[in-house]
Amino acid sequence: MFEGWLIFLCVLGYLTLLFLLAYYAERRERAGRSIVANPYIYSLSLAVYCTAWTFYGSVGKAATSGLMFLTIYLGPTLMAVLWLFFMKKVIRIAKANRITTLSDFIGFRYGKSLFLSGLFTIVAVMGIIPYIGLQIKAIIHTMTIISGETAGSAAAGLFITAILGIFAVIFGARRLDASERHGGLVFAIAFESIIKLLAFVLIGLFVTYGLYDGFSDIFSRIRDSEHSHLLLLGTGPATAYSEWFALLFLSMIAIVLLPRQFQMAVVENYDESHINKAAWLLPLYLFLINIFVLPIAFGGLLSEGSAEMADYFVLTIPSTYIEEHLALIAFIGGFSAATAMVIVESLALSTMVMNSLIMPTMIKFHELRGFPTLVLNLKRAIILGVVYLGYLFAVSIGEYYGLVEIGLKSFELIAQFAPAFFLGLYWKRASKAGAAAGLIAGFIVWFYPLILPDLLRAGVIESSGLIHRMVTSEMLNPESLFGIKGLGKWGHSLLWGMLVNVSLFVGVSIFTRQSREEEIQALIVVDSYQMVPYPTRGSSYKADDIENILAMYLGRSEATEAIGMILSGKKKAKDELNQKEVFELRTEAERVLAGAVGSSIAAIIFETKLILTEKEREDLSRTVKDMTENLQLSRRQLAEANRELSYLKAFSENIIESAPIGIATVDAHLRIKYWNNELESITGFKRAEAFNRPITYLLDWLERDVFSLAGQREIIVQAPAQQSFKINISPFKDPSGGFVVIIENVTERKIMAEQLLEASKLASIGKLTAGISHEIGNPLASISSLVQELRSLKMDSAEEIDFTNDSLKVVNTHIERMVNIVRNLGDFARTSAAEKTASSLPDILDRTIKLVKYDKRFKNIQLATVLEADIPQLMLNQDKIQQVFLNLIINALDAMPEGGSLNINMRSVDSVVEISFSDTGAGIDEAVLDRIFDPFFSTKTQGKGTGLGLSICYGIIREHNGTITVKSREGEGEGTTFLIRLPIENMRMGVTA
Amino acid sequence: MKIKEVLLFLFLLGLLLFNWPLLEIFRLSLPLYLFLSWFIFIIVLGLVISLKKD
Repeated sequence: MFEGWLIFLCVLGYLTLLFLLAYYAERRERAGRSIVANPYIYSLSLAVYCTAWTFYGSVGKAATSGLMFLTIYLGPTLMAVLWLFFMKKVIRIAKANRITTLSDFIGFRYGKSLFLSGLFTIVAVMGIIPYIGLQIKAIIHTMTIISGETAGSAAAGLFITAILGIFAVIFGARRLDASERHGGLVFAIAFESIIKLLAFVLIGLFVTYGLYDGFSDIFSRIRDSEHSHLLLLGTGPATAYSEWFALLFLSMIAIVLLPRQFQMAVVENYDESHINKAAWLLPLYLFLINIFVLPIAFGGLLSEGSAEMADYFVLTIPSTYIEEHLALIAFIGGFSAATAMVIVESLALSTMVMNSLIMPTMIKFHELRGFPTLVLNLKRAIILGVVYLGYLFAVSIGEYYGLVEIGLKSFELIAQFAPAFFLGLYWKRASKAGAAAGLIAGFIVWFYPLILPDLLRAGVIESSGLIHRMVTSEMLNPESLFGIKGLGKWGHSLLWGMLVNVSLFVGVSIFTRQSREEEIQALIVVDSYQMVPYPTRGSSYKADDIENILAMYLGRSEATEAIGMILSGKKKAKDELNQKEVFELRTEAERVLAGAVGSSIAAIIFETKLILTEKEREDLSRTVKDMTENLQLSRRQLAEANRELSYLKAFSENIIESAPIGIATVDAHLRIKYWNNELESITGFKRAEAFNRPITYLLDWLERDVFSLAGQREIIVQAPAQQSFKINISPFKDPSGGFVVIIENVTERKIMAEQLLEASKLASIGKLTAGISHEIGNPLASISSLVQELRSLKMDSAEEIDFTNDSLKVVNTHIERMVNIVRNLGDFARTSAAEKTASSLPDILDRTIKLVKYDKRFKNIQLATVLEADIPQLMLNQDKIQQVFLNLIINALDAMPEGGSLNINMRSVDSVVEISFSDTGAGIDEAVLDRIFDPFFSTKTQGKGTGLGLSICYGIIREHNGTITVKSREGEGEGTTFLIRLPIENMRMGVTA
Repeated sequence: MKIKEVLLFLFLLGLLLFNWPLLEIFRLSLPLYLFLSWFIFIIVLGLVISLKKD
């Protein structure tokens, strides 16, 4: 056994090492080379969850209830899976608003409520002080065991408590800005996590492989012993499955809501992404530290025979086997686990007490000289007070309870925070009144079955009168409320506590109105809404005023440093700030102050110190109201828009799928992304086959080049199977590229158009034939009379021979003329070619005039053609364009039965060729002008026109991407002008852009 | 499949693994079952978080 002074020396040495490590970590952090800001240190710091309860109490629990101790570590493992859902949100809100404690977070969520924050603090203190006492009790007991004493020394306990308190002050209350992360503390706690893990594993290895032959040996021995029931669950009330579930649930909540866990996971977090690694590293740590719990517990039972001292088997087993160094390692491990908890928990609790209970009353004394120092010293005193309260509990009430019993009662009470915390994160209607009602009722239900029976047994409360009647009644028996039995001690109180808490919380929230401040805070927390600093006009305060307010509460140097840091972020001096920036500075300063005195108090301080003018207050209030209402409105609109969007999507898809045209979309690499039904029938490729394949592979008649041209384009292509497709290609506006391709099968339409053209030609030939019959009839009559005369000649005189020669020349001339006429007609009547070729418009016009000039009506017409030189060749279907010219000229002849003049002009203007046909005929009634290109519309008398001529002209010109327009006025000599415009550039390409 | 969906599935799986009736089914080798399933659960959780970041 070790001498007392040696143990103190070890304790002091260990704490000094911790302090040096913390000092080193802080120095590195100040130098910008932090060794703390990484997920591994963060995960290890979260292992502050493993306290003396884990180190000693788990073994005790295993020795009495078997596997039940595992629930305390399986619960956090399950909760770690859910961390990614809510923990990042909590960290983000806490950082943005400099929230430093759980009660501050709750107060902030429910309208920056001081009352609620104070209420949660009181409950937390009541729940956690015994838990701190548990650690001090463990330290005192283990010191007694290792020093070989029979009873703990009160003086030693006091001394150790003082040391722990002082260290907590050094780590956490050297300055006032509590929101400043304590890098040194985090590093020290992470180090302690390693020490306690190593110490426990070492003892575990000693017991498992030093005293026994491994796991199987210990387990087979225990199976054959009177303790075999420890390997099973469901064997009695203490190991019931309902109790198992209750403990699992309690530990799930504890890993989030214990003040020290909130401190380490939220306040001391450097980067929210560290949560990702911690979510599996912490469970792994818990797994490792629990591997040897059963072997140590079973080893202790097998060697010592009873579970009386099971809480301290970790220490007593090495001591029994005179492994003094191992016992010292176990003591250091246990001390490490206890000190980590005491330091962090006292720091977290003192901040809660300071921010939620002390500062609201102290604030009125802020003008006292040395106020910041007073606040700082008060915080230090509270830390010491919290630790000493724990000590008092340990040496008084704590003596009568096991470690796990105390810990679980704390867990049960802390679990009452869960409804307000978790529902408050996601339910906007959750109100301050609901949270308070739920917590108060939950506290009463926790107290009644878990604390009252102990107080009665201890004689603190006398069992008489009303209390006696209550606890002995059937309905209000603390161990079987409303007659319900069999849930187990923890399951029973948890069920009723949660039921009452949640019911009141939800009920009161629903039936009470939230204040405006509560609504705003609910928006900030539930929707992670960021308040935009409101730029005031003509504010009465300046940057110096803000600094002065900070100085009142933090001290001058702290305030100057804080304002300096904010300004350096803005890269501006105090006097260079505009009104908006002053307002932002105020918001930042409020957050800094919130770190020291809590967000609610900080808001009050700035609210009262920097008094806004009436107008500013109204503006601010209106802005917040507008923002809130706009947000609510936007959400409704968004939901409606979403519904409409879904409907439109289904509607559009229906249209696209039932459309009689092929529709496909391709990405920038021409890979098919959408392929509708019609395309399946056009191409024979199913949608699944087409998906992601290049469109030029599936439609091999489609040239890749057409996609490289800018803008929308339309082309007609001839597919190999004698099919014609009209294809429209439109690029997406999306920067990632891609096209919409619309494919229409125009094979039948094209055949019909060709048939119509042929019919139109035949009609024109019919008209021409009537007009030019005399052109053939007159020469034939002349030839006939000459032939008659020649037949009567005897050819015996020179005169007759000369006459015969002259006549034959005339006949030949007539025949040549007729051949020309027939050839022109024949050329025109032959089947039209489908292709467009490079063609000269003047040549086509010339051929048309030659064809029509034999018409007898043309004799009375004065034709004037003005053709500009250098008309460029265009890609044209010559036959079709000739048909257009012919139709227009014939129409002009029909309009001038008594003669007149026809002027044909052709010129090149910009990028088009213009051809106009102007006659001096009767003109057209303006009322029917816009119908003149309609099919079957004619101004001629019935039987003289089909009404298709101009319609065909219109179609042909559109097919050549040109336009045809008409100008006319009805009345003799007013005349009509048709103007055709054919584009030059794109006609050459044969493609429209 | 988003990571949150996978995590929700893992959480429900964990609730099932570490509760009745599976604990009753494996009652004869409960320590082995609990520690083995716990370890595998942690490894799967680590893999899911490390491999699927969205």
